[in-house]
This record gives sequence, structure tokens and C-alpha cells, in this order.
Amino acid sequence: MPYIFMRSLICLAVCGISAGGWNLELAAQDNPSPSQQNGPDFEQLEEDAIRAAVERIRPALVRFETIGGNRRVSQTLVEAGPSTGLIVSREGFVISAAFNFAHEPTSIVAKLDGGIRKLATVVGRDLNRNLVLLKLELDEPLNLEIPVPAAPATVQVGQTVIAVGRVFDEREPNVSTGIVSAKNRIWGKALQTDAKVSPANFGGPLLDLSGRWIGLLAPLSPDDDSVLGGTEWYDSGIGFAVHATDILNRLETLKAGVTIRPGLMGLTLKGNDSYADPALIGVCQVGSPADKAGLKPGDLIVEINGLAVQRQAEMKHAIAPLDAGMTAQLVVVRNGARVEVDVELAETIEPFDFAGLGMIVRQGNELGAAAKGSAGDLAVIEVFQDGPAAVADLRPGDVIQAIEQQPVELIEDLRLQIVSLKLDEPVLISVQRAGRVISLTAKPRRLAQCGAALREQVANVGPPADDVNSAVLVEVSVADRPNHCWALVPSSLLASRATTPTVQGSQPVDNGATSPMPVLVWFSVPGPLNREQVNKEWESAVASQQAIVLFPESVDETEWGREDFEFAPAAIEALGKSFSIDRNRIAVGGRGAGAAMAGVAAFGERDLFRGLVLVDSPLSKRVTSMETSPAQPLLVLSVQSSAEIGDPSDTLNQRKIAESLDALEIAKFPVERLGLQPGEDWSAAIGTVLFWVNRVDRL
Amino acid sequence: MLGQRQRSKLVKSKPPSRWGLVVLITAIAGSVNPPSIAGLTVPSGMRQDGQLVDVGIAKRSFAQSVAAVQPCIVKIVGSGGFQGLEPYQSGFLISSDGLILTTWSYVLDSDVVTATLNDGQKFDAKLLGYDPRLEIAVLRIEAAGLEFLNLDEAIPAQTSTRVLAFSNLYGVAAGNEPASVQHGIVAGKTTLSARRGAFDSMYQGNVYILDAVTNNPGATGGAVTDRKGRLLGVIGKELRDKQTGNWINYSIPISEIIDSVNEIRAGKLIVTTDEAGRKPSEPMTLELLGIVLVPEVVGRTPPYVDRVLPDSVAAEAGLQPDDLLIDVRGRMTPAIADVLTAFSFVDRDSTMQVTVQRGQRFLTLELKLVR
Repeated sequence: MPYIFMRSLICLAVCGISAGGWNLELAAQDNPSPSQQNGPDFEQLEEDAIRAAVERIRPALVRFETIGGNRRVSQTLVEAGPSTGLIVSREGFVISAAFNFAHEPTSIVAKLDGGIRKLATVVGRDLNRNLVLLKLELDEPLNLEIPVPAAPATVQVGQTVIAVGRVFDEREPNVSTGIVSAKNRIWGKALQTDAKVSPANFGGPLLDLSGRWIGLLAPLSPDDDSVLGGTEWYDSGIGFAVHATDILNRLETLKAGVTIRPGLMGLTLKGNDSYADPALIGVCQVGSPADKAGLKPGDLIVEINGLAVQRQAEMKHAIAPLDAGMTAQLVVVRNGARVEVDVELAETIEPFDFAGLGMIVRQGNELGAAAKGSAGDLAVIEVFQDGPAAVADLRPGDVIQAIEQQPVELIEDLRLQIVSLKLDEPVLISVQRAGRVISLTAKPRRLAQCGAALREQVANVGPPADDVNSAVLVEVSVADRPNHCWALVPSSLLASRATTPTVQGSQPVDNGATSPMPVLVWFSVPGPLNREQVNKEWESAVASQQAIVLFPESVDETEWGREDFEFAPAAIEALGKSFSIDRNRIAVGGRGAGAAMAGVAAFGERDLFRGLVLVDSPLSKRVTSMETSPAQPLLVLSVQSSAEIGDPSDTLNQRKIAESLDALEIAKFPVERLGLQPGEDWSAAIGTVLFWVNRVDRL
Repeated sequence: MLGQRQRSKLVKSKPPSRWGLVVLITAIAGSVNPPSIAGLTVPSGMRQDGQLVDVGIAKRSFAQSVAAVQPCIVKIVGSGGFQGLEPYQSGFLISSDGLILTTWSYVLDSDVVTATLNDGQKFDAKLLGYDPRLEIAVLRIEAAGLEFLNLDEAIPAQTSTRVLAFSNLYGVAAGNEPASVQHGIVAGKTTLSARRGAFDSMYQGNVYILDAVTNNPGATGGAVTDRKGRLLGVIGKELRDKQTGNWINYSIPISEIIDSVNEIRAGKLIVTTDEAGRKPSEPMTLELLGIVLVPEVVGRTPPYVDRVLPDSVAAEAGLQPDDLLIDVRGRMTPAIADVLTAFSFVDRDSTMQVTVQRGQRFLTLELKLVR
């Protein structure tokens, strides 16, 4: 705002204050005492209470203004306007929302009630609640009433609350009212209010009608714990406040400059529906707090810190409010007995490193359909040359019975057990071979080092031998989705090759005779699919490798967008209704813009995709969260053309690719690289890519 | 200057006359208002109803307050309907003989502007005048004996005051359907520092920030009253707050616009929108003071002093390299661009106070050119 103009408005505001007395007089005239009416004037009483509550907190309300800082926070443009904080001690400690300083300003100026300015610095951070503690540079202690917290037990859903900030005007707090909408939100870390919560009061207190602070307003989200998580809900009627008592309990830690982080256990549960499945441990990561405390796969968690746990979501509720360094007292059921286990939570868990044996095991497959009531044999289909399984003399046709003498019945359980084996430590595998059970000893390696020899495959894929060995492009449509999509299907799958069917997700069109097929979702260039070229490049590989390739088209002809990303799972669902597809072998890939899309899709749909293929492209920078999880294996294949010597843009791209693959490997994702010969077009590698996708469920 | 005018108004405005005392003379227009003022007398809406009996302003229930104000709200339809712009907005009667206060917007930029009253009567509205600085306009319809909200009876609001907002947001109401009523409180008072798209808002004066989702398409020009139906302000446009980037809900206090409305009514309004008029012809510059800031390399470069020229005004005042400029004349300077803007409003002959951060301390320095 122009400077001189503002001066006159300050003058106006001063006059406004002098006119205040006049207003009070007016109020007195027009608001007769309750005795003059039929009962008390509740609205007036509440209005008075709100004013009194705000007045009470007002001396402790700080307005922050910042100098310098970044324009973007994780690629999102942020404004750096004034913000709010709450004084919590006379020495000048102020609690606020981390969002207010996410732009990392050069300097933070705090304006106290009455306009005095003090320099403020961030001294402590609570990354579990996205709060920061600041310290004011003071010459002498502050003289004010330190805000009184409301006891959590007194807070009730439905009670009137007041959200206060000091943003719109530095002289007067801004006020928004509402009710407590819910307690125990954000996994037990916050309560919810319908008062308007936004950058205008992030970092300010949520008060009850008597002026006690219930919590501190902050942007929070149940499924995005980043500093910007929840900001999109501003002023929506969904706002959150971190419990005042939780903050005060951590004040000394924050004052000491300690960064509070979420407490981690390092275990993976079985099942994937957190609202239905029990908290049954699938994997305890090696060296993690869960491992150190002696928790074991198969333990059923039934209680945490006195809270009963029936489902996985309840476990998250019990654990999420705990910080690193705190202890979770677990009760687990092991072999029918209740066992108490104390787990000291850690702030980091080593990334999960997949162990492997170098083999393919499938259940209920071509080697023997499942008997009624059983899921079928765990049959070894393929053993990779020189891998741990081969060294241990496992052979195709073996049926796996037990690992370390614990019987295994389901492929999911076998997978979890194998991926979490300790590296290089011998493991006893019992298999049935020719009617006898024999025991073999294998030494697991990292899964990335247990792959099939890819390079040899490049030479082995030739043109289709005849008409039978061909593939057909089938249109896949999904109701209510604007996207077009094509599936290149081996013609051997189709009941009749006379007509080209359209897949609409209703009726099976395959001939029902084949085993489940692997699927590769391929993001091509944006816009309509060049079907002729696709046929030319992909047909022989699809036919020989027996895989389905799904080609979604972008809605926007110039670029891949969000709706395309959302379309991919729907298209797979539709495909799965018409063809028998193998859910353990669904991969996604692309080249250029398509590779960026594929990366986002692979990391956005971790339960769906098991493989990611990047051709001449780095992983998209839009992928920010890369964590391995035993229950969500994701293998990466990078196909790279030979660099043109002396082409700087090519060299730059090569470097970007190398950097992103390094980052994936540091995060312990199994990465394989396939280099092309100089002058060789990438399409020569399509057969190898499908060969790899075919084995993306390898163990 | 605008601020001066507002100030005098606040001081001069008198408490409302007791209801029943009905003859008021608008200061400038000099017209005599007829004896039916919604804010003060028994509204006809209630009489027709037969159920509600007016118990006086102070004892009104919400329902009675709403019934008192509704007859004054006007639904306005004009131009728009392209590029996602809605062709309608809101307004309210401010005289018994058909003057309507509304927002100055593209909706009025039409040969035919239709005003539909609460009872469904439709009128062609003529633009009497407008003030682009305040973004308000006054329309006239040919009618008499109407109920209206008297601007002279408007009262100021405080933070936490309960409010009712009346508007035809989203064009929900048509014909004789009453306008929509929303309820909330005054969240705060501030000066408007907002923008729509990339453009600054013309109006930059005082506003009430409302704790209610009032500023929607078509709502602008509606009336904001207290819970007794006493006029407080006009609903503003849809704007984003410049400082937080968020959409805001706000209302312009009547005291900010009443003089301008009266001038429009009197046919006296002369509008100058000379932005430059606020800036001095010879502003202060960094060079004149001998200050060299660090190079502006990123969008939010903090204004660190790189060098202070020897024997300059800045050197004399004690400014040092590595000082961080915190404010210029009380205005925060988060980045170099803000320093340059602040300087452009300072006359080079005036004394200028700046605050700097040096290490962990703030220092205030006085800079004055010697000529």
C-alpha cells in the first residue's frame, strides 16, 4: 500500500479508537439489561465473552513479520505475509506454526502487543506437529499473564471456540469463531474446528469462551505431514489445533533446541486395509526399534500404551502422537500368550533393503491350478543363473513348504519373509521335490543383485514368426472417464481373432485358457496414440513375451495431467475384468514426458505398481517421497541409449539420470540398468523390457 | 484527502435518533426523507406477516432483524455472462425514492441494468454516479415510498460484533424471492491490501474482515448489518489478500463511503484517479543518501546494505555495511523491492526514519538530506 496513504489511515484508526467511547455509550443505550427482556440475551452474552477472551489472550499474541526468504517451499509459491505466534513464557519463548517460517526468512521481527519490536529466532522444531518455538531477544522478562491452557478433559465437541490471529491488523487481533468439530484428529495429535483457520491465524491460539487456550492453530493433514500439508483447507470449515497440553509438555525439550521428530518402530504389518485388518506384524526391519525390542513377524499387536488396538488404524492413532525417544508399551499376542514389549521409538529407520534369492515363485499358476479351498502350491517357476537359489540348488518345479521350518502357505507371506531375510545369513528352505521334502540352505543377497541376465535378452527377441505369434490393439474404455486407452494384447489370448473386441470392463474377452498376464502401463508421448507405430515397435515383443501393454492417451493433447494419472488404475481395473491379469506383475513406464508421468504414477500408486521402467529419463522431480516398504516392493529398470559424444544436452540428461538412479539406490530401491549399443534405437530393447516386467515379481 | 474526510465524518456523526423521530435531512443532498426507515421504524414486512410484532431495535430477534432489512435489498442484473463473469450483483435501497447503493463493477457497464426489489417489482435502473476510488455506484429507479437503509443511521462495528450479511450471492434468489442472509462476526478491522488476479484493488481503505463466507459471486453490493439490523457496511468484491494470498471476506464500512455517496446524490462528485498524486514529485532515492544495497538476485532478496558511500548522509547517520533494513518510516521492507517502493513515497526534503537490524539488535536511524 502506498506509504503516505497508509499514514492517513493510521491517523484514522487513532480517531477510531477515540470514537470507541461513543460506541460503548451506544451499546449501553441499545442493549437493555437482561431483566428488561424476557430472559437473558444469549447472543450478547456470548459476544461479550468472546471479546473478553480475546482481550485476555491479547498481550500474549505476537505478530511476526519476516525479511527475505525463499519464494517457494517444495516448489509451491508461498506468500510471506505477517503471521501469528503465542508467548508461552516470560523469558520470551513463542510457539508458532512451522508454516509461518517455511520460507526460511533471513530475519524474523516480532511485534508485541503495543507495537514494540523484538528480534526473534527459531530455537526448536516439532516435526511431529509442524510447530516451531521461537525466542525473542529481550533485555528484561516480559510482564504479562502467560496464557492458561484448557485441560483436555474439559474440551467437548460442540463447544464454542475462538480462533485468534494477529495478521490483518497489528493493533487488533483478528477473530473467528466456531465450535470444536472433533477430537483426536490427525492421528490423535490435534482437534478439529469449523472456525476459519488460515494463514491469518496459523500459529495463533484456539480459545474457549473463558479465554483459556485449547490448542495452537496449524495447517495439518492426516496424510501429508509436510509443512504445507493441510494448507489447502484454509477457511474451509476444516481447521486443526495442536493440543495446548501436548505443546507445554514438550516446551522444555524445544527450549533446549532439540528437534522433535515422529517416533518410528520399523515394522510392517500384514494386509493393506488399515481400517479392516488387524495389526499383525509382517516384517520387523533389521536393527529397527521393533527388532531390538524383540518383536517378531506373526506377533499380533493388541494394545499400545493402554489403548486397545483391534485394527491397524488404531495402532497409528496410538503411535503417531509419540515422538522419537518416547517408549511405546506394546502388548502382543504370540503363540496364544500375551507378551509385553517396550519399544523405544527412533527418529530414523534405515531404508528397507530388499533381500532376494533370485527365483520366480508363483501360486495357483500354470504348473497346477489351485485345489478347492487351497490357494495352490508355491511353485518355483524359474531359478536365475548364479543367484542364491541356484547356488542352493533350488530347481524349477520345486514346491516351497517352509522357511526356517515355519510353514508358508500364501505367496504374500512368502514374499514378506524372503524380502526381509538378513543378508548373507544362511536360511533353511524346505521344498517338495518328486514326492520328497528336502531342505536346502541359501544365502540371501540384495534383490537388486538377484536379477536375470537382461543383456542376453536383447538379442533373443526377434520378429513374430507367423500370424499366431502376433498381438492385437484393443480399445479399453472406462465409464465417466474422458481418456482413451489402448491395450496391446497377445492374439493368443483372444477367443476369436476375427473381431477386435472393445474392453468395457464388463465381460471377459480372453479365451480363459491362459495363466494371469503381466501388464505394463506405457505412457507414450501426450496426445493421440500413433497406433501404427505402436504395432510396429511393440507387437513382436508382446507376442513373444506374453504380456499386455496398456497405452493410455492424455486428455490434454499437449501434456500429461492429473486426470491421466488417476485414469491408469481405473484402466487396469477395466482390463482386469476382461483378461486374467497378474496383480504381482503390474509395471509402469515411459520415455521423456511419459517417463515423468510413469514415475509419478509408480510412486503415487505403490500398492498397484511393482515395477517402473524409465527410458532415457531421470525420475521426475515431482516424486518427493521415496521410501521402500517390504509390503510395497518397487523395482526400477533404467534403459539408456549410448550418449552421443560431445552433445552437451545429452550429457546433462545422462547426469540427471545418473543422479536420480543414485538417489533411488540410496533409498534402497532395487535398480537395474540396461545400456543400449551406440546407434541402437531404444525400441530394440522393448522385448527386454517386457522380459523384465514378466519377472518383476521375482524373489 | 480521503483519510481526512473519513475522520471528520466519524467525529461528526451523531447517535441515531430515537425511533419515531423520522425526519432526517441528508447533509448535502438536502432531500427530505419520508417516514419509513427500515432501521428505525416498524418494517412493513412484519406487519404483513401479522405474526411478528416489532419490539424495538434493541429487542429484535434475528428473525425480526432479517425481516426488517430484507425489503431494502435489491437484486441487480446487468452485463457479464462471458469469461465466467456473472452478470448480477447485489445492492440496497438508501432512499425512499429509489436510490440504490451498489458496487461499481462491469455489471453496471450495460445499457440496461435491472433492479428487482424484494417484493419482485422490476425496474430499469439508471446510473446516477459512481466513485471508482471506492468502487461504489448509486443507481436510481423511478419509485417512491420504498423502505430503505439510511446511511446516516449506520453504526461502526467492533471485532467480534455479530453481523448479518444480505446479498444475492450466486444469483440464488430471483423475482420476489428474498436475498440470502448469512451470519458471522467481524473477524477484524484492517486496511484493504488485496488484489484480484494481478491487479491491485482500487479501494485500499478500511474494511471489516468478516468471519463468514460472504464475498461470493454476485454478493458484492449487499448490506452488512449488526444482529439488530442496523447498517454497518457494504459487501466488497471477491479478492485475495496480498499478504497471505488467500481469498478474503470483507465489508466496507459505511463511514468510508457516505461522503462520496452524498456527493453523488448532490451531483458534485469529481473523481480524480491520479495515482501519482500520492507520490512526491521528487522522491528519496538510495543514491541520494549514499546507500548501496546488495544486488537483487532473487525475488525476495533481503535488503542488506552492501556499501555506504563515504561522507554521505547514510554514513553520517551511522549506517554500516551488512545492516539489514527492516523498515522505512514504519513500513516493513521484507525485500529490496519493498525498500524501493517505500522510498518512492518519501519526499526527498523530509526526514526519513529507517530501522535496521545490526547483529541481534534493532537500530533506528534518522536520515535527512542536506541541500
